[in-house]
Amino acid sequence: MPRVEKVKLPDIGEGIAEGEIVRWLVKEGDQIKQFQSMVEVLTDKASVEIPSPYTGRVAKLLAKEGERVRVGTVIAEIEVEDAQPQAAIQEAVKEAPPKTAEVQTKPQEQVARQVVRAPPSVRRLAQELGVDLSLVVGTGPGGVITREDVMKFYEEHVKPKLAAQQAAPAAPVTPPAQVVTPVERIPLRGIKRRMAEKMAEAKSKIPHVYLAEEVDVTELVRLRENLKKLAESKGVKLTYLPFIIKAVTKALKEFPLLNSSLDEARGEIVVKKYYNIGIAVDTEQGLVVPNIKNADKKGLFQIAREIEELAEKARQGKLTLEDIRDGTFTITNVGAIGSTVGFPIINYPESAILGIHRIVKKPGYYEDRLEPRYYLNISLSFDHRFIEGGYAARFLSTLKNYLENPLLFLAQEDEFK
Amino acid sequence: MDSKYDLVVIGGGPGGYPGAIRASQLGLRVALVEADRLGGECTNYGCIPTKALLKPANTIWSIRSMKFVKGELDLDFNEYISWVSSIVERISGGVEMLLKGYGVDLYRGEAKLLDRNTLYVENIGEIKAEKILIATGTNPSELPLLKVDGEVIHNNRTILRIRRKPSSILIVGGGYIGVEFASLYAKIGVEVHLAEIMPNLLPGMDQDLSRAAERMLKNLGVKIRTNTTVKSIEKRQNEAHVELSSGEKLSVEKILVAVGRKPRSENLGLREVGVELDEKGYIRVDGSMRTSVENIYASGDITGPPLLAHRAFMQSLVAAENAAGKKVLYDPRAVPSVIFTEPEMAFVGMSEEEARKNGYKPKSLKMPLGGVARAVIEGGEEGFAKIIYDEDTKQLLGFVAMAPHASEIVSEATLAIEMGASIEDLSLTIHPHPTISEIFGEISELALGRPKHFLIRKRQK
Repeated sequence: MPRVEKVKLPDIGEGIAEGEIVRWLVKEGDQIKQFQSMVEVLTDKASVEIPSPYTGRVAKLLAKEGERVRVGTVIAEIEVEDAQPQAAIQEAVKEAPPKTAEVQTKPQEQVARQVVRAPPSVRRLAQELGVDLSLVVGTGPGGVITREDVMKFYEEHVKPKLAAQQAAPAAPVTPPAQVVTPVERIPLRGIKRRMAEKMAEAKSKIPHVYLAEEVDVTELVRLRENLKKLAESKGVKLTYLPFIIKAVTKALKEFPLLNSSLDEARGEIVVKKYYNIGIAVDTEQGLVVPNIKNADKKGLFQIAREIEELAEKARQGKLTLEDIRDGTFTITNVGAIGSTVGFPIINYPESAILGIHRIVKKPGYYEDRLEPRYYLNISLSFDHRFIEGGYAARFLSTLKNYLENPLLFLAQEDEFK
Repeated sequence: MDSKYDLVVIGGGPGGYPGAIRASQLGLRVALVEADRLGGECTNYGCIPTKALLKPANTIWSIRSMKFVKGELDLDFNEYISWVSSIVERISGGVEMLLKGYGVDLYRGEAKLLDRNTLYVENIGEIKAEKILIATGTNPSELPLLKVDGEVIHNNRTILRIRRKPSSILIVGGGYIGVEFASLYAKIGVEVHLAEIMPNLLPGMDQDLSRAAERMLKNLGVKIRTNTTVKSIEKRQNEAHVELSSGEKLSVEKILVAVGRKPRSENLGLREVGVELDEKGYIRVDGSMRTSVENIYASGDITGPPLLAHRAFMQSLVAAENAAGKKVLYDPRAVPSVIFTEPEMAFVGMSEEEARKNGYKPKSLKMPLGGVARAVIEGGEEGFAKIIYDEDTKQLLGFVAMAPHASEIVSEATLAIEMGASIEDLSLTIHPHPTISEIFGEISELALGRPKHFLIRKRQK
């Protein structure tokens, strides 16, 4: 007999409470197999494809594309044909053909979430208020959800949303019919919406201060030119970014506050002893920031390889949560298209971000001789709540020194001690 | 649209009339269409008449079983049936009175949907409706070999009309209807044969109940044949000669076919207006009791099993409230089921297997009723009670019992499950003494390892 199974938005990652439905990969009425991807969900800048827990027919899609959905919310209903999950049937068949006509029953492999523990009047109240009980923490005996729990959840989570929804369509009061407003409304969806939120969050929470330096990278340019061939022979496309990442990690080790974040709730600075360097990548969908994990422990070519991989994944929208989380410091190419100096917004909750620009050839003095030199402008935005200007300036000049003398950061640290 | 009614309900049974009343209470203009009698299958041919039939039968049986009561008891069958009919009339009349009292317009006749907002009622004409609630219920299923003739071969409806006590009856089908009728006829002195196609009586129900039902009926003298069907039948004037699949031959005066139900969803114009049915013909609904057509709701047995009047009541109310613009769901944690044998059998909530599927760590405990004084007095000693609870949270998940008044005490378990109560809650709730409800205190304490009326013997290896 067919039964309808509810598909909830699963726990997609530690600490992630909600995701945005980017795109449904199935339609209502489609047949779907267990583990087949059914929906693309976007969390903190990564999109994840959620597999179907059941085999059957997609009866209903309950979340709209563009909608924000909390973990545990029912997003779809699948009509399952069998009285048991597919996996169990396949297993039963594998083991042995049934001896009698009786249906073999096996305990379900995938255990569904426990039924919410709440009395009927509370469940009715939740229905009327539009509260999803699976998100409410019960304070009654044994975790039973009480009326008060539902009301509290409603006041804190549902009501503000409703208010916002009501306010939003009310704002553009319909103009007189003859006036044609020359505007196009483009909905902020997916990565763009997330970008908007994160930028606003970073700018409103972090008091940014900005510094910039001009770096003579003539030596670096020469070095890269020499290494390029070797890199190519190994199938690596060597840009300047791997050098900058190496220099940055080395400088960060000397200035740990720039590789940390502020735990506002506890009033503590969380200094990270790992160096996951984020690189901002512009994609058609918007800005994403995957990071190179443990960049300090990796070689130049390996970093180059990983940059290429991450950038490619980003462009194809295939970044995983793993790729984008746990970043500690970010580098962004603000001047690629042509500004002399720009100041990026910190990738919250990190404490600083480095902006890099185009390398330009211009006349400069080297050992008192005027000659053609290569220059790179770098800029730093940092969190002034716990990083002083002097500290940040010293970091930047240390970084400048490394970039001007690349051997200093390419050689092993202990060799200079 | 200029609709005449806000809501038209098709069907005056438990899935229909409560919704009509509720919708009217919420200010809707409501009509109800009934093709037969108000109260539906339950009031007229099911729950009500069968319980009325059982009351005198059980009373006589229990008096007879008290060996110290002297004298003969006799049953005037014709009067007995008249009394049952008068009960049915009263209850059905009560439904009509309520509907009228709430200003629900009644139309008598078969209804058919012409479009999503129009009904055609025979002999009356078209009725316009903003919203429609379909509660047409089920009909008894038939067997090709055993066509109901109302003379020798009966279903649950026609059997109520017989005015002379048969000497013998073959009941085909060992589900709860067959079991109830078997115990009824056995108690009023009819020779009862019961044939069930499956290996057990009450197929699909708790196995302890199934075994207990078999034992109980055997004690009443019912001749039970499982794994058995009717192979051929030869009808005489007042008798039927039956050959069973086992080759055994029987002669009985009546045959009662009780092999299940089928949805009454044909000829209503449902498919034509886009109402989706499942492959068995039941109407598909969502949690708000809405069908695949936005303004059409369905409730009660027409939405598929379990086919229970009390479930229909709740669904009907939910459908009506949604039709009136509220946003509510039919989402019971537990729907109780009762089989009116004696002692009664009842169950509610999850089986161990269902609990496991729902992510619990179920434990179950079965207890005999010897430690419950009232059960001993009431002759329920052969009964039992069983609880299913979560090992970690001790939350009550399911309850099964064969006990005197099990149909009443099951409600305590239902409420406990709905409230998310634990067996500790049950054990700390004072139950009046001596009552059957003390089962809850005893079994919970037993599960917690501290019973008062049971001796726990240490298991020996």
